Amino acid sequence: MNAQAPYGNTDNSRVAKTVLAVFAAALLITGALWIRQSRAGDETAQSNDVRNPDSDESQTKKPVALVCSTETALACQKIQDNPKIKDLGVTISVENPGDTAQQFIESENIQPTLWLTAQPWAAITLSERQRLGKPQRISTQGEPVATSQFVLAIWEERAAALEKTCTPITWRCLGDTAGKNWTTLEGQATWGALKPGHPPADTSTAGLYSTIALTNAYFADQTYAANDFKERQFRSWFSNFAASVPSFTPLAGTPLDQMLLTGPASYDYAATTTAQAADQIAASRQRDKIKIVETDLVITLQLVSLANADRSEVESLVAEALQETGWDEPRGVEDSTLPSAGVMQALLTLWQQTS
Amino acid sequence: MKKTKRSFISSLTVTCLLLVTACTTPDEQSQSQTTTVGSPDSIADLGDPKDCIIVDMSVSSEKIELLTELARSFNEGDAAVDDKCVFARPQKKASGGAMKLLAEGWDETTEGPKPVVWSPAASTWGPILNARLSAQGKPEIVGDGKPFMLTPLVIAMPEPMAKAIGWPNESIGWADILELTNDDQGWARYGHPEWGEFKLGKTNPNFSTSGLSALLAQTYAATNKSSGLTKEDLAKEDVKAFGEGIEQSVVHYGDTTLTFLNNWYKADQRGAALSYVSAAAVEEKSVIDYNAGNPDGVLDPGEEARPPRIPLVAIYPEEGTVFSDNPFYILDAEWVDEDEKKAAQLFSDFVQTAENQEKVLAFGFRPGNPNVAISEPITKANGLDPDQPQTLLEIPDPSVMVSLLERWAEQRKGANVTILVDVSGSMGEPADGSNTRLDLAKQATISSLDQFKDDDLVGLATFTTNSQGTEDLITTLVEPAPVGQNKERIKNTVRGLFPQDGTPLYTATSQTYSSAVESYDPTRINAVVLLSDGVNDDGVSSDDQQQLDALLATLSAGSEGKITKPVRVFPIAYGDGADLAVLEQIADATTSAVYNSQDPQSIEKVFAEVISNF
Repeated sequence: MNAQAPYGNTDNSRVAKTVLAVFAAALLITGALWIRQSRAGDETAQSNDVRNPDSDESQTKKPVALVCSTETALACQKIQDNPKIKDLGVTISVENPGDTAQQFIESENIQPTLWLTAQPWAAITLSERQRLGKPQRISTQGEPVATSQFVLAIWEERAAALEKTCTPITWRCLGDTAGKNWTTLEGQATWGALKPGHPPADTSTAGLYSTIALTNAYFADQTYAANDFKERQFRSWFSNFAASVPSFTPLAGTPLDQMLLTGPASYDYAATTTAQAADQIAASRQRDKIKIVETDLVITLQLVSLANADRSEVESLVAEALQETGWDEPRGVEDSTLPSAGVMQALLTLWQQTS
Repeated sequence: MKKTKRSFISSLTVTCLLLVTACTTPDEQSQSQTTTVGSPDSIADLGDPKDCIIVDMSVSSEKIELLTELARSFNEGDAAVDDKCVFARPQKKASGGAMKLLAEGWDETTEGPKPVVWSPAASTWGPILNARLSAQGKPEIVGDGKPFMLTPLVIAMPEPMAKAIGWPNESIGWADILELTNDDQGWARYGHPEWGEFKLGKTNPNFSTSGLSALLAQTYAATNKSSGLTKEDLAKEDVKAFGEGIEQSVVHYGDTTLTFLNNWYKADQRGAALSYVSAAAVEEKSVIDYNAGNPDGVLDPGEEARPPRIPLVAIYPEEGTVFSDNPFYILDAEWVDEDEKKAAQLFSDFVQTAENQEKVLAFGFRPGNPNVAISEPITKANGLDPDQPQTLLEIPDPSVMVSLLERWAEQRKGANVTILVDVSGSMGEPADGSNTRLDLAKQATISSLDQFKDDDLVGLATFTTNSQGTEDLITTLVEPAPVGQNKERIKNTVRGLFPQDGTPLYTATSQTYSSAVESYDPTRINAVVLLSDGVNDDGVSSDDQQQLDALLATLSAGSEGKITKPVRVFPIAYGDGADLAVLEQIADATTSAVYNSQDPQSIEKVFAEVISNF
């Protein structure tokens, strides 16, 4: 059977057509790739499928900014003092993570940034951007860079009194006793009311973790959902705790800073991390009067990449500085004690409503 | 995720902005009794800064000596920014005054260089400045300020009195003060009838941070709370009764705690420390200074610190108290460049070193560096307790603070005051381009009437002589009566005053004082405000000393002792011809304070300070 070529029958023309076809195909493929890549940053993207910038070397950009959450301030000072970071041209700033999260949630044009922060903040930011229909531009992928035990720093004398009511001291008991007069808790009249040192949950990591810990304690596990927060008894219990957190002058930074500066007059205990508290307490005039009570939560830090910022050159410097400032090596497992991002956001909203 | 938990600072900021006068005069050594109003504030002489980066600093007066010493030491070191040396240069400015200048414009020709660092007495001032700037559409210039040194508000009490009510074994608070105040037996309740009734020294919360803190503390005490004070709390009958009870024990108010401390010390030197006041709300540092024999914290050249016969002890109210924290603000202002900020940070780090924080401690403050232990002089042996306070109070919402002050205006102790004005011929001398001294004094008198509450009894009298100088003309123009009904009458009468002839200062003071004693009301603060611009001149100079001695004897006899009718004479030395030395003696004799208004243009401010005693 002789087949007739549809467009001619010479060898030359066949070759020419083949070349043209291959070229056209290549053009189409290139175009498709270009379109696909462009869509990765498309403002209309709704997907929760976050790209990992580390897997797309051609699209990574040099980080221009490293934003550190306040709990990592010491480490970031060390990073800043490292000559290598100057060579990389990275600018460093320290902010309350809740404030950073809010900026990233609202931003329409996130610049390449690395964000050193505790796990929940990036998750909340992602979740909120998704809810608002904004492109993600945020990668939470990659290994955690450090961890630290979430602890309570409490005055020895007051812990001894509280342990008569709270045996042992649990978050549930702290919630039950917040704001009560110490005379009803076998403490002294001069201690006034029991004053939790709980930083604002909507801006600080310790505050957010305290809120999570309290809620975990109230519901006895992590299976609760945002609609459980409408339960009247829980709201009353939670509101009482939030209202019991006083706000003092002088402003000395964290509740722990305040305790070390003004003594037991301010807070009865402060929520903090081993990384932040251990050396600070050991060096202070209050060192013999404060006791550390461990909680079952561990704070895990991440180096989050925004707008494809390249973390590869900074990551090791960050990890090194964190370890030098008391943070532990990452444990390599996801923290299962944290609720979902949506639930955490609902908790923050509840905090705002009740504090 | 907007922050809804209002901070202490923002509350007080708004509160202070809402108030006309509150928080504008700190408890610093800026009182007009001891310094001339309008005189330039001092810049420490630290030598030639050469080509160094200069860190000009505006610091509240109570720490100028300490910071000058630290600056001197710092300047001798090798601190540098990019190889350029750094030179720290503190300048004394009262916190409120500096805040006003920074908010309204700092004139370097009259006020000295604009500061790179501002260190007011308390961190409450920073946000107030920011708020004022924002209100003008200007950028904020104050960020976080690191506390440099701290001191808590305490109730200072002579040791024997404190021991009588259980110190140091018992915790004592405002409720105990109230109980003692309400007890007709007074100190007899504790076996000391010779001490008479309980008397409290407490400053005016519209003028003094200590006064505001004390008011807050007593109100919290009435509610059994240490945070979350509400308007509903203030409206409760038992809270009102508590406040009224405490206020009834007040001897007089005033713009600064130094008035009480100076008078207490002078009384102590006369062996009468227990008869002036029983307690006063002051800062812990003041107790240290007092016990060191330096009640105002400043030793003048040649002056020697002599410990009092009876020391004071600090009672940390069991219901809670507040701190003054002396923050170090590196200003983010357009006149501060990056090198200056870096240089300022070096000085800030320098003052926080352990070695320098030991100096803070020696100065009577608690170190702002939490790594430095609290030790001498903050010791139990010195009447203090480094382990106190045990409870810190939260500042409530701004609207609550405003309501608190409004209620204080109703609850405070009433006044029975006669304003005695010198209308001698010299009051007709020009004070500025268009006004005589008397013109300015009349304006100040009229303005001051609005500071009284309606049921305060206020009267007006004048003194001069006839044209021959042969007859004293001491005239009661308006008898003391509720000022709410009398205000217009007093104002019209004041407007009609005119300068006449001589100055029978002693006779006029004596007669007006005697009238006040006759109409003495134990439920009120009884006082005479004496404004004079000259020396005693009644036509006969030969008996002046005799007259003065008799006057002082009368005044002293009426002021001390268990059963007295204390009428306090608050003299204002007006103009450069006023007899300040004599007026000081008159004030001392009635355990009050003399106010110096040598610059006649300061009279309105000074008059307001005088009226703050009521």
